[in-house]
Amino acid sequence: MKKKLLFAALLLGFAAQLSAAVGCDLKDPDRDVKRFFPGSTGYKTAYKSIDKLGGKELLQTVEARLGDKFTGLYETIDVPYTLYTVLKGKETIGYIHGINQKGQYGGLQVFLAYNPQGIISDFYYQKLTSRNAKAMTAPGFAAMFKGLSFADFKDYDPIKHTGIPAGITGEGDDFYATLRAVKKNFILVDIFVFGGKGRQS
Amino acid sequence: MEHLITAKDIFKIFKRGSEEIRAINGISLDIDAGDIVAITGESGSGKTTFVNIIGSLDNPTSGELCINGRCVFAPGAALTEGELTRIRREIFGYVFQKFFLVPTLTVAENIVLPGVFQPKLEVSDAELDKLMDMLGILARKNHLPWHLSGGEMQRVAIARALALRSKVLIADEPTGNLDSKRSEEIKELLVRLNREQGITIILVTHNHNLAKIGKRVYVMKDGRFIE
Amino acid sequence: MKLSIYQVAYKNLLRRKVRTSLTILGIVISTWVFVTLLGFNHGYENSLNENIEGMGFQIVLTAKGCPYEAATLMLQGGTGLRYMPENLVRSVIDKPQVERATPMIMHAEFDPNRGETGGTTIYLGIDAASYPPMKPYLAFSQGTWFASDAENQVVLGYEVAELEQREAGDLMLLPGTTEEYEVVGVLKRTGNQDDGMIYMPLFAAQKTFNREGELTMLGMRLVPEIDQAAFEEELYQLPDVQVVSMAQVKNTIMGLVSSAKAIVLSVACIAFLIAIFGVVNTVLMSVFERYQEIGILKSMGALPGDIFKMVFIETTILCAFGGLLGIGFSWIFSGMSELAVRYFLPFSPSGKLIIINGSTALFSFIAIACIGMLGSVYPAWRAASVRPLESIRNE
Repeated sequence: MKKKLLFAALLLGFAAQLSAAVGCDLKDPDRDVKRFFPGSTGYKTAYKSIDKLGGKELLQTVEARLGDKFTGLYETIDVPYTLYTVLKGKETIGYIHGINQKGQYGGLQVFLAYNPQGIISDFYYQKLTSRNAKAMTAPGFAAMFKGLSFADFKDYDPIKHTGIPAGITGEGDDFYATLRAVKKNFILVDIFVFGGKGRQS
Repeated sequence: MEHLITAKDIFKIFKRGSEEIRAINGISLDIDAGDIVAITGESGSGKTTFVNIIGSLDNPTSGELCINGRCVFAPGAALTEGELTRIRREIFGYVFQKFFLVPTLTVAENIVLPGVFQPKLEVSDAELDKLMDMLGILARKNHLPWHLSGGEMQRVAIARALALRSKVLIADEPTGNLDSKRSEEIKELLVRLNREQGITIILVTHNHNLAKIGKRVYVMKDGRFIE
Repeated sequence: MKLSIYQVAYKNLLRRKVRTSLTILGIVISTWVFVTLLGFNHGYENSLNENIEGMGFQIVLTAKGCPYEAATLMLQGGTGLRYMPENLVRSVIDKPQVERATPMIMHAEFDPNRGETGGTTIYLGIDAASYPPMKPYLAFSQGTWFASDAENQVVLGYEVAELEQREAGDLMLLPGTTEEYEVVGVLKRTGNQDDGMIYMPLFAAQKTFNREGELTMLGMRLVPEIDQAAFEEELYQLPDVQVVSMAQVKNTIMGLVSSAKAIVLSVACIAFLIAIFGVVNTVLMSVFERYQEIGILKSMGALPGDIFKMVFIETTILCAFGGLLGIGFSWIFSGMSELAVRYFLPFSPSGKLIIINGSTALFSFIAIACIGMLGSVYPAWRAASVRPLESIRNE
């Protein structure tokens, strides 16, 4: 009977609701935070949105800094972003922030871990659908981003694909989509954490 | 001439265990319309018990009581609570030492309160104002009782009794809670009501000065009139 | 000047404002619970019916054992669906008792590129001609359904589309395949499992997932006049199939929920009783407090019936006021109550779970007023029995 009900639940859509993919959350924050920052003792979660922080004006600033417009059904002014502030005792030892990015064949979820100065300490695809998935999920790919700051990405043009930071190599639409996601991630963290003054650059 | 109230050989006996207490011990009294009868005596002498019987609040143990031509108590015929109530409605208004005003009703509402239970007893606004004016409480019409002085409260209680258009006003220690000045005011008021409205007054009081208004004054002791 | 007994009763309640307010609060809360429960009773069944109606299926035919695995597949990401031969299913579709039917194939594919441990994507192969009319509530935010014979086209549920950042016209790589698929439509959010589905044309799904000639489910609507039980019995004669009747499912769910409702109803009844005892206590206390005053009213000519009526009205005012407020609260906060119900209940259909209509409100109001009046009988009787002489003696 219980199993029959379970089936009914499935058919009627009672129970099996997928978690809403609004914004970009870590799937298992407890585990993921520890993996990015092994010395951490805890973390704080904050939900931010461009709409609430500064509205259209802020959106224009973000777009100007990114060098590209927000487009499509899902990249909108009211998307909530999740910022994880990682703690060791009472001390902040870093930040984790993820971006949903439209790829060629599916969505990319690009998470960056930052040290307190805003320099990338880790790079992680939580989700990736790409023909180049194998190469892009290889350890060497993530390693290219470690140690970079916004200054390195400032000149990257997501439309013309110029100004790629030295040492970062790759090809294909999903590679460029990833670079756009990294640059957007930097800009938003600058706003959410450093007050949008480009301190980390 | 027929008396308004005729009480003959009234006894009220309470039993406490095997002891028999004769609260009223064979009193006879006739009261005519327009009388003022004052009853004085020490506490426990039976004054209140007697006026309660006369005022139909209680039945005697024995004796005969006729009110307004109707014998309400005679041997073997005690009245029910409802029947006593009907007689009270027709004849009596009561004023007590405590004023028993309803604290959430205004002065005017307290006065017309009896009308709630006697639909025929409607008091027009003009009648009400006249009554309050006569009692000197018109200015307090819309005040709540706790705004009033003791004398004013007793006057409201008297107005409430009068609103019943009672033939007889039974006043049991009406000045018991008042100072001498207020007592004097109430005294004058009772005299005036008797003189101008022809209201019969049965007065129970310790206050000798007040008792003087009685056309007849009785002193009670141990359930009997001794003077 | 005329004073009514209602005014006197109302003003009597104002004497102890805090006590009166607390008593009313008790009635408000119990009414709130009671009305919400009645509203839930009505709303849950309504929504369940609507959901089942919205499914469009009266009966679902599946391979034996399949329902269980299909459910666990969705809930826990497992695999291992069972399939029915397509020709068997087609023979059922051709039966005269079937008014409309739509065959489906479900497939779960593990996507290793979703997170650290991967994730499961659910595909539903459907017949674009027969499926949409049976699911009329599915609406598109972009695009439309694919043609029945379309290859390499998909329609995405809202959440899949959001996760994959796909819009109509975009390409997609389906996990486990190397072929490109075009997204031809994105559905609007439904709030149920449809949001997490990737829909493909039936034959394309069979081909892509190497399940040619096989089906997972057949959804059916029957000709209205036929004997459904007899038809179900006939279907049970088919080898290795299972029949899930939505009427049965509904009854089962209603049965499960009814035990929960019975518990809540008991709680509501207890709350109600407590509130009524509160009313009785309040009115009785106020009668005792006014012992002398009631005696004086009687000396002024009030009959026992008058006093009974006055106290009775006081109680009725308390209950009526508390009841109305409680009904108002339950109506205003029905959204909040619904959230709570959804949180606590394992199965809650989409749609309005708590429906408070005029008849529910009226019934509750009458029930509360009647119970309150019943509770007032004792205090009113005590008040009516006060003897003026005794009360004056207490002076």
